Amino acid sequence: MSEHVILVAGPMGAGKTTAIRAVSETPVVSTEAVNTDRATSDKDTTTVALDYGEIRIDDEERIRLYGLPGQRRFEFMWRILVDRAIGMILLLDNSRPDPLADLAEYLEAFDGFLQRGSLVVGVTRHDHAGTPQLGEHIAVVAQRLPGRSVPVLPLDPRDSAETRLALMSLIATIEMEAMLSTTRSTP
Amino acid sequence: MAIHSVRRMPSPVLLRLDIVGFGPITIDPRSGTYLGVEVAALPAMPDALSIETHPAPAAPAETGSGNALDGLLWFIGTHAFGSERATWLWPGDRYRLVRWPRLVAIPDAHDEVPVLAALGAAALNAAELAEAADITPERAQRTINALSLMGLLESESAAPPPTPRPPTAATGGLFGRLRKRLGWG
Repeated sequence: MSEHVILVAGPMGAGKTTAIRAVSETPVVSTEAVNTDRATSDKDTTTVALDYGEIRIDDEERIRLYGLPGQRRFEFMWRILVDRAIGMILLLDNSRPDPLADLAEYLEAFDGFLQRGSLVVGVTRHDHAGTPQLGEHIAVVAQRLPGRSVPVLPLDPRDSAETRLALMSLIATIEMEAMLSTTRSTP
Repeated sequence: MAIHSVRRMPSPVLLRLDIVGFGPITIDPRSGTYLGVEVAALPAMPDALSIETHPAPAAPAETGSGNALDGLLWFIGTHAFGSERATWLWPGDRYRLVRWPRLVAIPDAHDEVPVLAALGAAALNAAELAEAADITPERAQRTINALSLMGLLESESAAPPPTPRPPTAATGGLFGRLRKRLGWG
């Protein structure tokens, strides 16, 4: 069985669970609990362990999608999965107080992974909160990952077509970076 | 050519295109938006076209008003020069994608994703892009024309040719298999 692990990361409330549900072919396994951190995100529940979904390519190959818990106190869960991952979709809620700081924080937290793995950044609620603009997100990524062309896309995680497009962009980036990139090691 | 030049002018201007038989389009490069005829209604090759520039008002259009400019520039860039090199591009240069376009603004975006990913991974000319993304050289040139018009490419005159590695055993061809699985081709 060939398996490809994709991580879906981002702050609490960015839409990770929703995005996985939008593309998974199997019922998504979620581990949620009552949200006790209303100051960070005004939602009733939040993921405390993992969300899991998958896409079966055929009987021998599948894409495993893992949604990482957004709260930093569950950071140890990130490390468990990151070694097996080939790529990451990082979701950012543009309506939060400082999305660019969120972006910088996650790029730093996953710096080791991002030296070998590929990344797509999905900016959620971009229609509701026009600022910061996509160009500002792109500038943060360019500063942290110089020489890389990372897809930074407005994304509605409820829209399966948009979310699939983000996933396809990630897969294409993984393959083209492995085939063409002269600045990074082959994953 | 006019759009390419205006987008590089230091002072802010609006660009008005009058397409005979179809109506006007006003482009505000600062906000990345345009007002006027929808892309879907535009002719691939208009019979007649006039172009004017106007001083831009002090404040750009608010985000959310107007249509995304990416879709319009993609359409113009992929049609204006046919499969020839855009006039501002130099033979021999290689191009690298420094910023992805808004995919939702591009028709059949899933077809373009591997092309964009190839240009993001290495500086390529049209022939190299065609080989890497498995598309025709003509389509590769149209794509480079469009992305350049959109201001998403940087040219690298001295970039060495890429030395493609064979696809890794782990993921080689996964994009194509997933695309087929999702019913996208």
